Amino acid sequence: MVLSKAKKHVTYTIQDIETSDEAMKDFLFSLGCHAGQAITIISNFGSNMVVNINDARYSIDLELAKAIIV
Amino acid sequence: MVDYIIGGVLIVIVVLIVRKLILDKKRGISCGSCPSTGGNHCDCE
Amino acid sequence: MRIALAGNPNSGKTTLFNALTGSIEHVGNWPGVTVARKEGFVKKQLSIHQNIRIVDLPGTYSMSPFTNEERITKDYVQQEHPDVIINIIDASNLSRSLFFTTQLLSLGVPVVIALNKWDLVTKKAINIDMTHLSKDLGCPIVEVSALRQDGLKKLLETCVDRKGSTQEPAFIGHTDATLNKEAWLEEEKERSVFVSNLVKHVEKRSIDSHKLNQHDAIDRIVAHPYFGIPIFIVILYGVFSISQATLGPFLADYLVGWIDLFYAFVANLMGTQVSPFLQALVLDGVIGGVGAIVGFLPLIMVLFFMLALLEDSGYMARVALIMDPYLKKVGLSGRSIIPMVISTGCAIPGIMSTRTIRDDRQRKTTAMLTSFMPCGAKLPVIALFAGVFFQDAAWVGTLMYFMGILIIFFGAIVIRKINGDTSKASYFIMELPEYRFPSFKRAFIAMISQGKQFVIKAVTIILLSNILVQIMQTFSWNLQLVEEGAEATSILASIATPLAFILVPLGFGLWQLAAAAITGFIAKENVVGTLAVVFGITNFIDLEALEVVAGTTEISSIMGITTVAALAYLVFNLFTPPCFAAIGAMNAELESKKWLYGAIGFQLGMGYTLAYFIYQIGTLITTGQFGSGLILGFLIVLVYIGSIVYLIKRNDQSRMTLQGA
Repeated sequence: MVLSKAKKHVTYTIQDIETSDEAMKDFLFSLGCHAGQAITIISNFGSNMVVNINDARYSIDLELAKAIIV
Repeated sequence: MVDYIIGGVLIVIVVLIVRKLILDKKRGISCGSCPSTGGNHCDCE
Repeated sequence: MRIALAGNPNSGKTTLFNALTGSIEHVGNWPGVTVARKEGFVKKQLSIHQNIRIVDLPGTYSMSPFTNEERITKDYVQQEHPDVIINIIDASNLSRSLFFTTQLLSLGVPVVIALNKWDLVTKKAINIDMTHLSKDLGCPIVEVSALRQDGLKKLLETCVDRKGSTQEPAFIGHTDATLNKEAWLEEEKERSVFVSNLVKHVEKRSIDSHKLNQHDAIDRIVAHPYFGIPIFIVILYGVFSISQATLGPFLADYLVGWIDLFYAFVANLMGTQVSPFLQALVLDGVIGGVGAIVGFLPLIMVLFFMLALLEDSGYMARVALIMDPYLKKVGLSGRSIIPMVISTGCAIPGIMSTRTIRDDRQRKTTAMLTSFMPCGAKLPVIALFAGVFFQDAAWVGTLMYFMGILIIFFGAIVIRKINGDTSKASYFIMELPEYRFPSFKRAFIAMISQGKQFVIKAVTIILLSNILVQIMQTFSWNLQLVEEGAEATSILASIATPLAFILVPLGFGLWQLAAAAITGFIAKENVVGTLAVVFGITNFIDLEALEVVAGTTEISSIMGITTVAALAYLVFNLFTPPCFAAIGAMNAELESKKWLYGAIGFQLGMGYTLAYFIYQIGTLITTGQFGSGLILGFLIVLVYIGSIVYLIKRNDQSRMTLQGA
């Protein structure tokens, strides 16, 4: 399912990043956001959420959350 | 007499300032500083 | 000996670089990007070896051969052969940092790891087996705290030791990554697995980062899309209160006192020996004009100090998070917040930083609008009017910043309507650093640096402008000295008066105020400087000297405008086009004359229209009548609004034609 539909405080494993934006995909990769990595939603504000990837907190928007498949 | 001295000093100051401004322009220094690092050029991420 | 400094953004690299080096040189930019290249020599007291040169490479998460920024590190190493690479790593985030490290280790140059933020590690109950890690990576590791300047000597000694030795890579992929994108991606996946395993072996966390902690609890309120905004307003108000209403003016009083003494001293020295013109030039033009501006230095420095504290605490990232959904609604990306924040210091680096915005239209829109955020140069203007007309009230400054933000939102909507919404989906991602108690030391350093900049600007550009203004107001066109009372015949007055005519509907149709606004385009501080020169006021802070009595005041009789008009004048100067230097930066980013003229036209119209409404409506409320020039101003505003509406309609039409056909 897409991350935007996922539950808070549960650790998921990323299956894929669905986007045609290659540059964004590469950038995410270098942060550790790629298939096989663990991701947890810390807070969900609707249009933005705070996630934990690779021991760091990031704020991402709904668009990006829809592109991450867990 | 005093007038000429003061006038002369002022002119020298003006010339120095103009010179500095022109040199700065050539080196590409902007007028601002980065709020986070406080440095002169911004490689603010 | 040459050392390259490499590491992730936010790893403390800049802090380490500043801690290691004495004087810094900026040798232009790295090829192909807007990042400045910084080099410096190691401070003498840190190492017995002399002439160790450090080059600060741009912060990056990875060295890919496919993007400009990421190629710089590899190119630098291959072309300029540094002796050693210091890889600075954030100890609280090994897994992300080590990804880049393993790439650096494959370059064949000896690497020394500086494990930074060691103090945070113990607090977060993370245990790192350094011996194991060092062995697995094949390079030495030195614990440092860049902020506290610990471990620097040991770091440099280790570098000197490693010079000349060979460096084996820690990770070798199975494919030749330079062949093509797929092969590279394959290798990077393998690299990622390697790093994960490595980290599992050497790092033990007693606190799981996937679980909620106190910082998250704070964020639930502070970063909340609804609660976050009033919190932001309160914080900003507090910052202004301290810098503009309390601590700032308190300190400024002393400074102004000294300036006054200096003025009197020089006046005495010159006595009757010097011609009146030169006296006026030196006393009012130079000391008075520059002094008026320098008098605001404490207010500005305190403000920057507080903003630096705010930034250091990690709060600013949350502001970006809060603003993102609203910015999206007007067609901008959350990343547009960064130029806006930078512009509160100076709009020039702010405009240049729009280059990181990927979408072309969003980038240009942000570049055009970011100068509406009041910059450091506009602060003396705000402080002047807040002080003289509004008793140093903190709400004036806060209001100006919020107006700036609102205008940017409005402007973004208008530009989108004129150009059509062509942006593709843009993703917003921003790292949220942990909250931390801000470093007073760092904020202090930032404040001093900005204070220095301010003073330098004051005694160069502004000094020149003041001298020019003083000369132009003392002489008439046939180079005769202008008599007392006949000021309107001076060069300055004759140039400014035609413009002053258009400003009548805004409440400040005086040539002196028009002249001040014009000089504002050279540097916004000049508005204050020119006013000081033209009205012969040498300081605006010392309110006892200006004896404000509610309502009819000495100042308003000196300046000849009402309080409402003063507010209108302030708004006018803040929200018109920025100084020429910033317009130049805008020109570089907009890349088209059409956009540039559109931007300047939009800015001019905005300042005029806002001032018009404030003056006319304010005068109506306070006196029951409209101000002078109602019709003329209305016509001008009508032309402005009309042009915008026309452009919007034209875009609508062309879209409908396309769809119809």
